[in-house]
Amino acid sequence: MHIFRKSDSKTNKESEVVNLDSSDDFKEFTSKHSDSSSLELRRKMNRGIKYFLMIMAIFASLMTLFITLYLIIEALPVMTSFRQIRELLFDNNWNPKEEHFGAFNLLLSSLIVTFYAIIIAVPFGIGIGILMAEFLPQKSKKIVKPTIEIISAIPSVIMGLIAFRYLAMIIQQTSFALGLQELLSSGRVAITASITLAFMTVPMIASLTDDALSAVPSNLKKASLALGSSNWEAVSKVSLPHARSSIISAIILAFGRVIGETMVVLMVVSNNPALNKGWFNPFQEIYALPSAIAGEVGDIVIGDAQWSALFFLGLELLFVSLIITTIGRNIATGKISFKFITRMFKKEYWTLKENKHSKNDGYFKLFTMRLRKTFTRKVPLKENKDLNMDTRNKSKVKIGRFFDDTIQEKEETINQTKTELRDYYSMFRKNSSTKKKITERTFKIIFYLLLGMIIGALLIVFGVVVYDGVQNLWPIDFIQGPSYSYMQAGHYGYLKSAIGTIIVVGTAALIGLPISTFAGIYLYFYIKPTNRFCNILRNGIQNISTIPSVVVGLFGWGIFVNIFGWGKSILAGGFTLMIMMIPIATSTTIEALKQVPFSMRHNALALGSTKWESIKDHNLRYSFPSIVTGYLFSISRVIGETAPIILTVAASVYSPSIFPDSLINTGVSMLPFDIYILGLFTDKLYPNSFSWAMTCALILLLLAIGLFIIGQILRSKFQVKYE
Amino acid sequence: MSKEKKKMQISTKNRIKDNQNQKRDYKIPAEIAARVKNFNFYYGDLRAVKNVNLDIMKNKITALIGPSGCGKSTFLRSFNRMNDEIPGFKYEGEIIFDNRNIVSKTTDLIELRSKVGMVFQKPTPFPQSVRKNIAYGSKIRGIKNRKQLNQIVEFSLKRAGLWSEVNERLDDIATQLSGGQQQRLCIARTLSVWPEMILFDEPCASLDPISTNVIEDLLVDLAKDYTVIIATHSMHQAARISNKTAFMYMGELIEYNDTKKIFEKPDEQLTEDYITGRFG
Repeated sequence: MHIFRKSDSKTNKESEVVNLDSSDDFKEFTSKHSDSSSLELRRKMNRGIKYFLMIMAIFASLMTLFITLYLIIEALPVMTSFRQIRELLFDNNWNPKEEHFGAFNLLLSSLIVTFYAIIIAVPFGIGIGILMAEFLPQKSKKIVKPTIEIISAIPSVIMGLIAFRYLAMIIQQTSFALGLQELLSSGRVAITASITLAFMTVPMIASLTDDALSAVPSNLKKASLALGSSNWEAVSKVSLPHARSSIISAIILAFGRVIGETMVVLMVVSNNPALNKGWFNPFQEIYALPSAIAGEVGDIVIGDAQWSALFFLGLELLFVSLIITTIGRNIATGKISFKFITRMFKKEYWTLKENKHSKNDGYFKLFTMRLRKTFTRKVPLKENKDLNMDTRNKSKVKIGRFFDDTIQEKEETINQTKTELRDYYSMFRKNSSTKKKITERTFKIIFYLLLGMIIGALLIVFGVVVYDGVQNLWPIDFIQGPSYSYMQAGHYGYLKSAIGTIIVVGTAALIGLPISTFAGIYLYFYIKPTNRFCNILRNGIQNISTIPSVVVGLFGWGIFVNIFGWGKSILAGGFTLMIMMIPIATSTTIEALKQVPFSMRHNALALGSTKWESIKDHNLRYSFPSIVTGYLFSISRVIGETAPIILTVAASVYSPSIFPDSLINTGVSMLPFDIYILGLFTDKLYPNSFSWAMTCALILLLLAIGLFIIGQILRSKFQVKYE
Repeated sequence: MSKEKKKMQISTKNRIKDNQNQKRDYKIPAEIAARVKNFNFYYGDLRAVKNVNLDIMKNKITALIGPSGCGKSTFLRSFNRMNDEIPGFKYEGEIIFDNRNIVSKTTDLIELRSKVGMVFQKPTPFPQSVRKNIAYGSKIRGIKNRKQLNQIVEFSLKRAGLWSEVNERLDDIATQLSGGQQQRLCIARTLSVWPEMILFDEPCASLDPISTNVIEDLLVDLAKDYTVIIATHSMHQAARISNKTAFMYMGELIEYNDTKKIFEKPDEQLTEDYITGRFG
C-alpha cells in the first residue's frame, strides 16, 4: 500500500482512490474504466499514426524516383534525337568546349578501374571471409571483424589523398627501378586507383562472405566431417558451393558500389579520356564518369549543353549501378541462377542429351545418373588395383559360401574379411590424412597472410595520417579555414571546418533520422512482407543506397542549390546528405527492431493495447540503444562523404566568425573539402598544404571512427536482456 | 465527392446492420460463456480448424487436448483474435461471446482483448520492473493515479499468489524471477485488467513439476471468478484440473464432454486410442 512513498504528496491531490479489497471491488472498478472515453482517442491515435508512418515511408522510398525523374528532365536537351543519344553512349570524343559529348570512354574508364579493383579485392575478401566464418576462434573473430569493418568507415577522400601522395609515388618508382618506363611512366594511372578501391572494398566482400558461410546449415558441414573429411574439405566442398550464389552476389554488389566511387579516382588518376593504350589496360591514364561529373560541374553555365550532358552522365551512372546491384540482389535471393551455364560445361550434360532420354525421365533420373557417374569416377580403384581386386574376389567367394559354412567357419571368414578391409582402408587413411593436413595448413596460412596484409595496410594508413597530421594539430591560427591568400602566408586552422562539418551533418541527421526511423517502423510492423506495396517501398528505400554519391550530389546541386535558390549552403548540403542517410538509418532501425522478440508485442496486445502502444511501449523502448547505435553508424558513414559536399555546400571561406552566418546562400568550409583542396595543391604554391590536409584527415578520421566506436560501446552497455 | 459520399453511406449502413445483427441474433444462455458455431480457421489455403461446434461454460475450466498440430492452439487463439497477427488468416463461422460474434470484421480488438486475456506458453515478462509489468495494462487504459495503480498491482499479485514472494522486490527487473514466478507474473498481469475469460496456451510446458503444481492450483482457484480455457499437451493435467475436455484431432473436434466421461468412458474410439496412448 505504501509503495510510492516519495510521491505521496502528489497523489493526494489527485482524484480519490478506490479501495480494492475483494474481487467484487475490482470487478466493479475495472468495469467502470473499460468504457472510458479514452478508448476512442486511443483508436484514433492508432489510426493516425499508421497513416503518418506510411507517408514517411512513401516519402523515403520515392526518393530514387525523384532523383531519376529530375536527372531525366535535365538531360532531355541532349537526348532529343536518336543520333545524340548514340553519340553520348558510343562515341569516344569527350570535348565539351567544342560540344562533343562522346561519353563511351568515360564509361569504359569507370569499368576498367572497377574491374581491376574487384579482381584484386576478391581473393582478399573471400579469403578473409572464409577465415572469419570457419577458422578463426570466436574470441579473435570478435576483434578481427570490427577491425576489418573500420576500413569501410575511413572516408574515401582520405584514402584518395594517401594514394595520391604515397601509393602513386611508390608505383612510379618501382616501375622505374624495374625498367618499365614504357609501361608505366607515371604513378597516376588506373591501377593505383584500383588498388586503393580494392582495399576499401575488402570489408564489404569479407563480411558478406562471412554472413553467407555462417548461414550454411551446420548439419551439412557436420555430415561432411563425420565422413572423415578435413575441415578445409568440408568448407571447400560443402559450405562454399552451398553459399556460392551469395558470394557471387557479394562480388557483384561490390562492383556496383565501387563504380560510383568518386573521390579516389578523381584525386589519384590524371584525367585523360583518350585511352591510348587499349581498352583493358590498367596502366594508363583514364577519365571516369564520376570524376567527369564532380570535376566539371563547377565551371559550367546553367542550362547549356554541357550541363545537360553532365546530367546524362549522372543518369548513365545511376542506371549502370542500379542494374548491377539489382542483378546482384536477385542472384542472392535465387531469382537469377547460373546453374544452366555450369551445367553446360559438364560432359554428362551433353552425353545425356545424345542418349536421347525421354523428357519424362525428369530431373531425378538425370541427377541419379550423374551422381552414379561422378561416384564411379572418383573412387580410386586404379592405384591399389591388386589389393583391391584381391579382397573383392576373396570376400565375394567367401560370402557366396557363407550360408553353407559352420559357425566356426563363419567367424573365421568374418574376421579375415574384417582385417583385410581394415588394411585396405588404412592405406587410404595414411596417404590422404597427411595430404589433407598439408592442404588445409597451406590454405590457412594463405588466408592469414591475406588478413595480415589488409590489417597491415590499415595500420599503415592510420600511421601515415597520424604521423603527418599530428604536426599541425596545434596550428598558429586555430580558427581560420583555407583561404588562398591566407594560406600563402602559411596559416591554416581546422576548427571552423570541423564545426562546419558537424553543423551540416547535424542538419542532415535532424531531418533524415526521424524520417528513416518512421519508415523503418512502418516497413517492419505495418506491412506484410508478402505484400506487393511493401516490396515497392522496401526496394525504393534500398535503391537509394545504390545511387552513387556523386549523383546524389548532382541532384542536390540542381534542386536545392539552383531551383530552390538556396545557393551553396548548409540547408542544401544537409538535405543532400539526408538522402544518403535515409537508406542506412532505415536498415539499421529495422535490424534493431528485429532484435526484440515478437512475443513481447503479442503479450501487450493480449492485454488490450493498440498496435501503436504495443510498438511504442515495448519494441521501440527495448531496441532504443540499438537504434541509437544505428544513428551514430549512419552519421559516421555520411560524415566523410565528399562528392555531394563539393557540389552543394563546401567553399573556401575567409570570415572572422567561427559559426556560419546563415543557413542559406553562404558556403561553409568543411573538413572533407579541405582535404580535397589542400591535398591537391603543390607545396611550392602553398607551403605545408599537404600536412594541413593530413591534419584535417586526422580530425575527420577521429570523428568518423569515434562515432562508430561510441555506437558499438553504447549498444553493448545498454542492451536489454529478455530472459 | 458524390461517389465517396455514397460509399460512406453504404459502409455506415453495413455497420449498422452488423451491429443490429450482433445484438439481435447472438443471445446465449447465461451459464454459457461462449458458443462456437460452425467455426473454421484458415492459414492461407490450409484449413487449420474444421467446423467446430461447442459451448464454453461460465466459471469452469475447459481443457483442449490433442496431439501437436491438431489445431488446439489456433482454436484457442481465435477467442481473443491473436491469430490476426499471422499473415493470411481467415475466420469462418461464429464465436459468440458477450452477445457478439467476435470473429466478425467489425469487432473491436482492443475491447475484446481486455475482456479475453491470454497467457502464453513461454513466460514473457517485459524487461521492466515487476510493478511496471503489472501496471502496464491499467496504464494504457488511462489510469494514472499511482496509489490506484499500486492497489491494482497488489491485488493482482495477491490473486496470482505471488505477493508474498515478490512484495519486497517490486522494483527488480522481472526477468530475474524464476520461471514459475515469471509465469505467475504473466497471469497476474492478465488479471490486472479483469478479463471475463482467460486463455492458457500450454502454460506449464516450459516449467518444472513443482511450479506446474502451483500454477495448476492457481487455475482451479481462478475458475471461481473467471472462465478458463486451457490448451494442454498433458492429458494428466487436463484430467486433474478441468471440468470439461475437448479432444481435437487434425483440426476437427472429435469429442467434447465432461472430463470424467472423456477419461473414463469416451464415446469415440479415436479418443480412447489417444488417451490410452496408442498414438499421439
